[in-house]
Amino acid sequence: MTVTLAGAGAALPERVLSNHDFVHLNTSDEWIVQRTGIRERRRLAADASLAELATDACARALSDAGVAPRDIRHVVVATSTADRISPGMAVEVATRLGIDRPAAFDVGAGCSGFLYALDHAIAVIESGRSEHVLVCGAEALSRITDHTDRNTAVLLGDGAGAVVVSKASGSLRPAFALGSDGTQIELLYVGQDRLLRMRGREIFENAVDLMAGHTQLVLEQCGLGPDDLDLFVAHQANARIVQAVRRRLGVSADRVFLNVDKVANTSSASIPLALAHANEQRLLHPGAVLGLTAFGAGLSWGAGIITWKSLAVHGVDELPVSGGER
Amino acid sequence: MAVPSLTKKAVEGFVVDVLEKLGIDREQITLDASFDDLGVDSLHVTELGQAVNREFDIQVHAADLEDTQSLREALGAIYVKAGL
Repeated sequence: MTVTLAGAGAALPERVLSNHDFVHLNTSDEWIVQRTGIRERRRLAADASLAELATDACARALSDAGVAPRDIRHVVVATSTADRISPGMAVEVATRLGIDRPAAFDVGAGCSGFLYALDHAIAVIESGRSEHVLVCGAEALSRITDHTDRNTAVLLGDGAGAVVVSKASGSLRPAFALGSDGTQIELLYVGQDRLLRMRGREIFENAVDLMAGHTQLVLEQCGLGPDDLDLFVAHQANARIVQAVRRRLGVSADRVFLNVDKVANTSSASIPLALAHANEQRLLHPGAVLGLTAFGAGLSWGAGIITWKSLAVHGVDELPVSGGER
Repeated sequence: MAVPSLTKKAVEGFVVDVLEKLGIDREQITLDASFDDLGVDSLHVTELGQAVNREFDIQVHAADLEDTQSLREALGAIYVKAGL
C-alpha cells in the first residue's frame, strides 16, 4: 500500500493586478519581473469569502480525482488568512462541499502549511483510518499585505488550490521531511498589526539552503536522484529562489514548474495551485514522481516526494474499495 | 568532497565561474566592472555568497556582501570573512 495524489483543483479570484498597478510605489514591471518573475497576481474582493474560493478548488480536486464527497472523512485546510479566527475554515469548506461531519481543521505553518497538511493526510491514510483525505491551501494574502510597502506588496497574491490524497497500490511510498526554527521569527512574520513583514535577502538565503537540503534528503530516503523527478514543484514565492534551488539540486530546467508569473506568492495555496495548473497543462502523467518543497514564516520548511495518480497505472482489482466514480 | 585550497586566486576563479553560471556574460566580467553594468543584482550576489560558502567551507552571509558594487568589492568582503 502507498499513498498518491489522486487529483488537484485550483480557484483564483477574478480580479487581476498587473505590475503596472504598482507604479505608484516607485517600482516597475522590469524590476519586478527581473527580481521575482512575477507579472501578475489575483486579488480577492474585500467582502468576498475565502472559504468559497477554497470550496471551488476542493470541488475541482474531487472531480479531477473522481472521488465523491461521501468518501471523504478528513478535510485539512492550510491557511493564515481565514475568514474567521475560529472555527477553522476546513469546517465551512467541508459543509459547503456536502461532506457529512468529517474531521476538519486548519493548519497554520506559513508558506509551508500545505506540506504540513499533506504530511498529516499521508499519515492518516497510512494508519488505515481513511482512504481519501482532502487537503486545501487557501490564502487571501491581500488581507495581511502592507499595500504601501513595495518590497512585499508586489509579491503577494490570493488564491486556493486543493488535492485529494488517496490510498494507492504502488511501490514508491511518500517521503516527507518537515522542520522549523523559531530563532528566526523576525525574518518573516505577521505581527499584531496584521501586516506581513519580511527581510527578503535573508529569506532568500535560508529558503534556498533549506529547500534544496531537504529535497535532497527526501530524494535520498526514496533512493532517487534529481533525474528521477518528473516534476519539481517548489513554493512559488519567487522564480529566482526556485531557479537557485533547481541549480543547487541539479534538476533539469524542463522538470521545474513555475506559475509564479501568473499568481505571485500565494503562501500555503502555492503548491496545490501549481499542481492543478501543471495538471491543466498536461504536464503530469499517472505515476509521475513529484518533488515538492516549501519554505516560509517560522521559519518553517518542508520537502516531500509523492506520486501523481499512481492509481491509474494499476489494475482495477487494486483500486481502493471506496474509489467514488473512478 | 575535499575543500579546495583557500587562496585569493582560487576564490576569484570560482566566483567568475559562478557568475557565468548565473547567466552573466564572462567576456564582460572584470574586477572593476560595476555589478549594475554586468546585470548582477542583489539576489545574484546572495547566491554567489552561498556558492562560495559551499565550495570553500566558509561563512559569508548576504549582509556581508550587501553594499558591494563590483567584483573587486565582493571579493574583498569574501577575503575578509575567509581571513585571506
